[in-house]
Amino acid sequence: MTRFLNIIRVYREYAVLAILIAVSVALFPLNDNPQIKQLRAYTIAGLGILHEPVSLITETVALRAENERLRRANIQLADEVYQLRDARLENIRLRRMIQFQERAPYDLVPARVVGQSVDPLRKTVTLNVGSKHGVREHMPIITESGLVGRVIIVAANYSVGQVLFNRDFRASAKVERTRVDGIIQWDGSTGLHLNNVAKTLDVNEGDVVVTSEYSNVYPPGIYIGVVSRVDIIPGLLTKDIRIRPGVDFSRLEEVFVMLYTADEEKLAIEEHIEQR
Amino acid sequence: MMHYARYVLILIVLVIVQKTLIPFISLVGVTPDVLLIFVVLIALREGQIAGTVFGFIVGFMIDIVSGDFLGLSALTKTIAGFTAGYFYNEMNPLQTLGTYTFFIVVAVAAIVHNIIHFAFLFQGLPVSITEVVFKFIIGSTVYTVFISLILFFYYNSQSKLIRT
Repeated sequence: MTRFLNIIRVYREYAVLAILIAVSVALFPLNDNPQIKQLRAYTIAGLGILHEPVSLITETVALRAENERLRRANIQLADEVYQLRDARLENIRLRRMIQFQERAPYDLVPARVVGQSVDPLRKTVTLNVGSKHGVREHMPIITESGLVGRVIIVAANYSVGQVLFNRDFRASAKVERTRVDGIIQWDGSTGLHLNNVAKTLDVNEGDVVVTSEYSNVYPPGIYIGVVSRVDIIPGLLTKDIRIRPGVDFSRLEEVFVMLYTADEEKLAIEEHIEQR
Repeated sequence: MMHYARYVLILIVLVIVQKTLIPFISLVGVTPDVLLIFVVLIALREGQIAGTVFGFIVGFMIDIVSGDFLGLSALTKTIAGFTAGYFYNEMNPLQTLGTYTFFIVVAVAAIVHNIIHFAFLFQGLPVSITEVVFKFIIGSTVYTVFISLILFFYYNSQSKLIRT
């Protein structure tokens, strides 16, 4: 016995190891033991209580990161939605323009508005077409919604157009229904005036106004807008006629330059008469 | 005797840390085993028997808390503690902790521990041996050794202070 105890003492590390390995192995079949299960349930519940505040911290950190990620995703998605919406609207606009181009009586050069002047009284637009595309001075600029203005400066690849909302803009126009003539002029705000229409002439609200054949710049029949108000001002011989333009100038993106120039023979003879 | 009570307190804290915080620093499913480092530390400070016994206690606590196969962690941590105890320097127990030998001890203990642990755990499961070896045995060992750097630097600075 003493000898056995001596051996144990000498090899006590191995003895401890052997005993603990044996205990560990003896634990293997106790996985389904009810007491062990109960003990595990208590410790896991206790750990859960401790885990909760820790997880609050880690979850807060994780939530912040997730929030950041979701915000980025949201911005990207919003941008995509915006681009898709923009593309859809552009598609609609271009379809209308194509249909318009097909039925227009003159050749049209499609152009994109690439710039706008900041002068509030002399509003002009810069177009991405120029003489290389057949554009010349005084050619009308239109959209499917009506008259936009006319080309005033032409470069090789760009041109500048004077729009209706410009204090220098004038155009001969007529009321489509009654063929009453007048001069279209900007009202300084978001509308137009039809000037030089005698009080006695028949013009009503809702009448459509188009370019007149008297114009040296525009071909006849281009839609300008609708009469929005007619006033008789005492002491004046003419009516005060306000026109709501067909074109929305605040959203001008794609236009056409109409490859139209006035009959040179007509211009020459008119100039000759004026000179006399 | 008081320092053993302190070990038990540290052990409880480390069990909580291992089960709550350590999963958040897992890399591709591999986590470091701070409890194994603790067992190695006990073995190097207190000797082979203490290391073996603490290995068993740590392993048993893990078995109870984790709900895994009962006795497996007790077995592997016991053997790991025993293995680490071979490097116990009776004359100067703290010397090993502040030198590069500490990494070797942690690595050897972790390899022995992981081989037994994962061999039992994945026995009969359709898992590739390569994945078990590289991801779980070597991966976990490397990660555990890396985390043991904290203890190494601590004891290294302590031993430098003593020398000066």
